[in-house]
Amino acid sequence: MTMTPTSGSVSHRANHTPMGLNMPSGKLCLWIFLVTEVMFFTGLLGAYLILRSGIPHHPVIRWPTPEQVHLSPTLGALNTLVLILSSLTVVLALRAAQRGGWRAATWLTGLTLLLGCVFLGIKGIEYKTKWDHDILPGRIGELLPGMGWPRERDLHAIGMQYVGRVRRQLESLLATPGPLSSDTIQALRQLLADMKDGEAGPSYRSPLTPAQVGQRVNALLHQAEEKGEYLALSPAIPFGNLWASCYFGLTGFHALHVLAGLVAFAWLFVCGLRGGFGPETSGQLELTALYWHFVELVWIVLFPVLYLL
Amino acid sequence: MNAPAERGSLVTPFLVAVCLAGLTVGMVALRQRGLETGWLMLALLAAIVVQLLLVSIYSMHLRWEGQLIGLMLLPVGLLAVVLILCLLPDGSFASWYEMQERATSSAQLTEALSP
Repeated sequence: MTMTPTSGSVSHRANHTPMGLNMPSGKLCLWIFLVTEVMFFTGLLGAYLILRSGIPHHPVIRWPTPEQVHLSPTLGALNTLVLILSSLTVVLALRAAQRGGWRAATWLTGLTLLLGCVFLGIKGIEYKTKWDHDILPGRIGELLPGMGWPRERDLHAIGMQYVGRVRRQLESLLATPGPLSSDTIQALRQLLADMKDGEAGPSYRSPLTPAQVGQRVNALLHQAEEKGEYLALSPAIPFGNLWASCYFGLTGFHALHVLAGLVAFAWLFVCGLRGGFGPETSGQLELTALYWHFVELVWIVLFPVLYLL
Repeated sequence: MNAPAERGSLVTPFLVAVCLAGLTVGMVALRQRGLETGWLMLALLAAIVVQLLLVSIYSMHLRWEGQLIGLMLLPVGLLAVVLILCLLPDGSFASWYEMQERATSSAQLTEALSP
């Protein structure tokens, strides 16, 4: 500190030593936010792992494979590559901004925005596949033959709900069969007849159990897929509802984070198009880039855990 | 806010992106080769750790951020690992309890049906 001769006040500018943190407060705030986000996703991932590792070792009862739930590892890998590419474009945008290349920074930000939209688009295609195959929480049959009577007893109420849903779906399919082949229509009619209570008397037969309904529905879906037909029937996949909840929970929260990043990129892109890109916007781009890398980081963990294991 | 300082050479982000993409393709290839689950898990875990380090050190600039961010992340990283490690045995025991319950139920049924 030195005394200025003119005013006699103490000047803090001379021999200035940085106090506190050698980092912009915005960046520090973002890092603190990211730290909380790490714990948020750790909690979600921890819940997924405990649910998954809690499945008993059994030949029929096991965690659904990606193939069973129509989850494509190739599509997931493509999404990962898109996110890696977007991460590269945001780094290049930041470099361009640091060198004063505002125009290049604007267009690279726009490219990152586009790649983020592609990521969400691919995610949308995945969600549509789940919707089409009725692989949604609370809609999948949980029972299959060979799971043991204690499990059938425990899940009987859920099983009966599934039977009721399949019955309604079959009635709806038979009312408006559309382009289904006659063999498939016949098989659907047979299944519906077998599910209903039999006639009293010597021809009496007991209706199908939820596990048997699940098995028949899976066989029908498999046959229809081989013929290239589409059947709007809920499949039976043990622990399918739990899988669907975990999948939509984990990827849904990640997609929300991607969306938040895209909003920030869109704002920066519009700023750049209006000629408002400058040192201040460049700092904001750095923070958005940091957030975007975190979003990439989370996906890098989610992709192998959900799609490959 | 001031313009951020430039960090690292221009080649680094490209190298990082190529490594990340290569590891992703490698993980998918390993799965499609039908590797045994235990080995697949180990390989995937190793690939995930390498990818996480690459993104955090080079893309998120942890290499240049100084000790403060490292100190902030260290307890969180440790807590995250401890949380997962604490939860895993619970999951394994849940499976063991269910097996025990099934064994008991089967024994009761056998006893009830025996003349």
